[in-house]
Amino acid sequence: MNMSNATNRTDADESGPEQPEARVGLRYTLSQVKRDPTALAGLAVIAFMTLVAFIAFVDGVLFDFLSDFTFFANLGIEQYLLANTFWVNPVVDGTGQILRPPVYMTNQLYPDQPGTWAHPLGTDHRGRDVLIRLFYGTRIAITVGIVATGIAMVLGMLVGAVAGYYGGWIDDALMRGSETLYAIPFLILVIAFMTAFGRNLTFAMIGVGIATIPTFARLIRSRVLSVREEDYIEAARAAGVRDRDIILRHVIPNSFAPILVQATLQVGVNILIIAGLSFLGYGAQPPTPSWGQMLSNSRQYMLPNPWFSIWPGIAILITVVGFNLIGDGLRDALDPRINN
Amino acid sequence: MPDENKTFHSQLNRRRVLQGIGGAGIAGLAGCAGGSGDETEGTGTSSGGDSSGGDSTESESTEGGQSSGGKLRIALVKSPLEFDPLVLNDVPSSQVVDRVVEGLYTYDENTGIVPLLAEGSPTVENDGKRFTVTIKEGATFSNGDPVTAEDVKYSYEAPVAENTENASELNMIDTVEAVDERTVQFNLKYPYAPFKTTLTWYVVPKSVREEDKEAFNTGNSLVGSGPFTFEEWQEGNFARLAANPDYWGDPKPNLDEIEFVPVEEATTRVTTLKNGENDIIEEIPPKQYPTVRSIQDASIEEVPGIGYFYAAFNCNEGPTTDPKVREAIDYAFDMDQAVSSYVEPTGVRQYSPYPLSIAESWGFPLDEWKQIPHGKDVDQTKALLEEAGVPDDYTFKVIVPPDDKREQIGITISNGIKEAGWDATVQRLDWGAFLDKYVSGDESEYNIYTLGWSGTPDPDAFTYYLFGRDENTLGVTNGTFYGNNSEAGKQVSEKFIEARRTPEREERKALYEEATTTLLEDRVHLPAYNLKNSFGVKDYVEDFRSHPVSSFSITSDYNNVSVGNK
Amino acid sequence: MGRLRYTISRLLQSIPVIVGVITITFLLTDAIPGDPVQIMLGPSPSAQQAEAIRAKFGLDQPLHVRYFNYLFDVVRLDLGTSLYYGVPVTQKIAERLPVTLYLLLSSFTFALLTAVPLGIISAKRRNKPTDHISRVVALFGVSTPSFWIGLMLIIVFSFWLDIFPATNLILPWESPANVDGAANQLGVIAKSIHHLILPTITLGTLQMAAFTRIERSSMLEVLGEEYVKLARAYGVSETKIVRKHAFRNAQLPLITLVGLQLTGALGGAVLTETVFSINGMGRLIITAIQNQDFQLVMGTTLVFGLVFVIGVILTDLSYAYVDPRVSFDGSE
Repeated sequence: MNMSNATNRTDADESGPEQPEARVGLRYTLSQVKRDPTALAGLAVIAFMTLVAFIAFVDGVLFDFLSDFTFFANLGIEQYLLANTFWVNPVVDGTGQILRPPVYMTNQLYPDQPGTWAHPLGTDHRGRDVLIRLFYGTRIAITVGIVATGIAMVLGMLVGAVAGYYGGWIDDALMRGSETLYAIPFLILVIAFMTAFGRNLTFAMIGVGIATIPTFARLIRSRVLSVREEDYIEAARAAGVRDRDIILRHVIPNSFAPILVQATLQVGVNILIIAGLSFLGYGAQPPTPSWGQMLSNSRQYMLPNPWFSIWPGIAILITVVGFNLIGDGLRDALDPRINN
Repeated sequence: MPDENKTFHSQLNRRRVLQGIGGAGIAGLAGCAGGSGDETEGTGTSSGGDSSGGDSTESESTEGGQSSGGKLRIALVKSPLEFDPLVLNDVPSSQVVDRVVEGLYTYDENTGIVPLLAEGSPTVENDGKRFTVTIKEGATFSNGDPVTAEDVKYSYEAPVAENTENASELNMIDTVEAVDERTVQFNLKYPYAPFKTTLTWYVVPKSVREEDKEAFNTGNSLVGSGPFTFEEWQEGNFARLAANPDYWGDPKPNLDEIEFVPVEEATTRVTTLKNGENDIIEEIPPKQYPTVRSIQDASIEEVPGIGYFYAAFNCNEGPTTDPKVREAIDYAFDMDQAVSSYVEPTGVRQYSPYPLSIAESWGFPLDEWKQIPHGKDVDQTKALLEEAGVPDDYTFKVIVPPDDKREQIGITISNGIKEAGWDATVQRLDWGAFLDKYVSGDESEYNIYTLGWSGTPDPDAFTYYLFGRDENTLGVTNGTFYGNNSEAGKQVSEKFIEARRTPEREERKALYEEATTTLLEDRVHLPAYNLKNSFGVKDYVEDFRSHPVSSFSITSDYNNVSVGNK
Repeated sequence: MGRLRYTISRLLQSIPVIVGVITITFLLTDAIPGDPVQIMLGPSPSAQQAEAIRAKFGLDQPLHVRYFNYLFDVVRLDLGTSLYYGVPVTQKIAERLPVTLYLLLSSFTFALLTAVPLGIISAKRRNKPTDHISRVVALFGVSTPSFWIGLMLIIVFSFWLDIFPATNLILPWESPANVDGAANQLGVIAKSIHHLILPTITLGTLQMAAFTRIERSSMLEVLGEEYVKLARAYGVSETKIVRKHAFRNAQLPLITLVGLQLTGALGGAVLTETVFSINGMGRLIITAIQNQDFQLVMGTTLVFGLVFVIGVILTDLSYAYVDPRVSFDGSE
């Protein structure tokens, strides 16, 4: 093996499966996952977080929608909506509810303001309920993590498949390009990207997606390189099936398993990256409740009220652990060597 | 409007627009010490000694009886960038240089102006267009050279001649004449009423600066007449000053050394105060007050600064050009409450563009102005916005600079607008993008913004640049100029311009009052707050004073800092 | 001999990557809205002032001219002058790069020193409590935002316990005169390490966790190989198997990962430096982007790119050192 391939060689190590059976179907994967407690635990965590996110979502959309009808508005929906905005983005400035500690806790500095059940995790610097904001933050984190991964996955598959399938200068050019992307620390790449095009979540997702294309491109490419020589591909080619169809119908489906593993892990990584971006001020604009931004805000109030910086961190931790557990579970399930 | 820019002279310079940092020491013209000299030869200056603290030698003469000498570490918010007082234009740099370079006049404990390098008050002649100043005998730069009239002339002329960012502070001067060794005459283009504050401008030795401006600016050859001399600077790490053993003035500094270190993160600053990494920290954010108070061996030293923070409107384009809409937005939130929640105790509520100390010393009708802002009444907002014909689906855009307090005010405004049933967005922008948008006056960029302003302790500093419009201020107010769509606005502008050219104080006062009342009633600005220059100080540091204009004072007529037993 | 040739050919191969880095950064910085001159002078500077500065920094020329000028300057090792700081970009980088490298080096050392033993023990005691614990640690390590770890460390160790400082990084070769409370060079080094501990943990945890995971899995893999089974069958002790037969081969994936983690760690350095107010490259680049200091953004990114490329080449070289099967002659 040539040294310059050293990097490529470990792609598989990084993302796990390099198993002999190239064709691992979705069904087999799932059946393996079902037997793996780690993956199940991960699934449970993510299912819970998704549920939380979904409730927050429905809560927002449904009542937004209903309040447009006078009938419902008269029923008091409008009041509820107001209360709703009040949670996320309250108008109760300066009513003494600011920086409450969690329930049963007291803050040494403000002993007269103990935590109450009204705000189980306390309130933030604007008097907003931290728990509710965490709920809404879940929605943002999960959506953003998945969308960014999706962008990277689709573009990465395209680049990787084309490079691997055609080889030659196309391969060289594409791989140099993806190496280039890799050579700029992606946090910086994304920050520059957002400064140039827009400092909001949409561009954060797109930026992170683009910056992580190489991860998927390399993975697919190495898969394609091994699949390309398979008999059935040769046969298909000989039978006059078009290149595009070969890539789409055979090569990509056959690389499905490792991609799924990588994608699951990448969602976790992306959530971390986007939290980091928000922490630096490159993410959701206020008052949108994103975890990273909550952490960034909390820095100012860390000493009088450390809780405020603890919760969002834990929320991120749990979610990312969830995705990593699923990813690990999938990987173990698909890798017979480690699994026996 | 681009043509107008040509004549405009960066009035809105970096030091004036309060960039996130609190009111701390934005003193445009705050000099502390000064003098002039020739030759770099001198004693304990930058060119000379290494750790030239001169240990206990110079501190013997001090009154405190404290343990002599000592080193003081002050945590600033940001790192200084350059040290040539004629060029520098940012707060941290001036905080450092103020200890090294003096001016003809300086501020007393408050905002009064007292002679420093000058002897007595200036003589005013020719209808307020000529000021004559005599330099004290025996005033020397730290290199031993005497401070001469020629140095003063040079210090006042160079910024304009070199077109530095500070040129606008001095461009009312027509000519400066060195009458003899120790007498300087300033001839003004027009009677400029607040000229006394201009006389606090730095005085540097001509020969040293002329020899190598680059080295002067990096501090390597920086020489002033102040109680401290420049030692060493590592950008982003520290700037170090040492006592000037041959300081001409009185008292001699108690300290041997001062080290300024930048610590941007407020929480970290407080932490370094607690664990003693730093002796003094600058700017305590509102929610950290109790934390600092809870530190056993430290206390807070604070004084309201000379600053003005406000929310204002795009008066050039869009619905906010209509006074009704502006009033509606005033009804959408309660500024008193916003300030008490997000600014106090770091700052105080302010009802006019003038910091309290100015307003009080001028006897402005504060009680009357206090009545102008409305409390929160969303129904009124709704009614007024409907009356003004703002479409239901209109989205108000609020832009805020990268500063938490102003961001919170912006969010409060947008919440109120949302409550009234219109949409509103808040965008927190980097300074570059913010200034870019703010001067554009483009409706699609913003309707409402929050900003801060600082200046010398004179009403002129808070009116002329913000509301005035003449060949000197075009550009600053391009986007926001109140007179763009309003006859009243034009009159206000004229009154403010007239006021600065009126030597008679009562006349000036009347002009300010009239114009200010109009603009407040028209809700061009919604004045918000003024920040304090606040410092967390370890108890073993004695006699440290915060100062409204120059942020803090180390060695002066009224104080002399020393470090006791830690 | 072969090694040298290999290194040179790898360096040549990385030229397109560096050009690519320059191109991407160039286009991105050009797309950033706002006027850098305005940031320097405040809004609406006099046209004269602005033009002078534009001409000084070559901002008045069209994009492609500036691009080729820049490439040409880079070849001559001239990175231009920083708009914001007013000093040559190379000087700024020379000031800041050692800080970041010091931080990276220390956190990678920390990560490797903990990860390798942890991974091996975990693999040897598969599915025993030790294994579970180390897996959980690793799992949480890769799932925690590094800056949050930093915040928590500051709360606990700087503010509550007051054991470690929360700011600044002192370089071990800093002169004692500039370091408070250090009498001599040894004192400076001690201070330096004292300051380094929290940032190292903050930046190193993620690497540590990632390394542990890969160490464990590759160790498991090697322990499942035929030759290991054979050795076991011959009655060679498990410790000896690990030390003599498995260890070297199991390090290969880890080495590659170390190289690849570099780029992530450089990004992490931005966050760590922000949390601990360390004046390294990360904060420099953020300042540069925020102030549209074009030359500085270009210069810093370029240097990051170089660090990455060199890191990967070093990884490849050490790869061959560890794995006797890899030769440098380029044949398969």
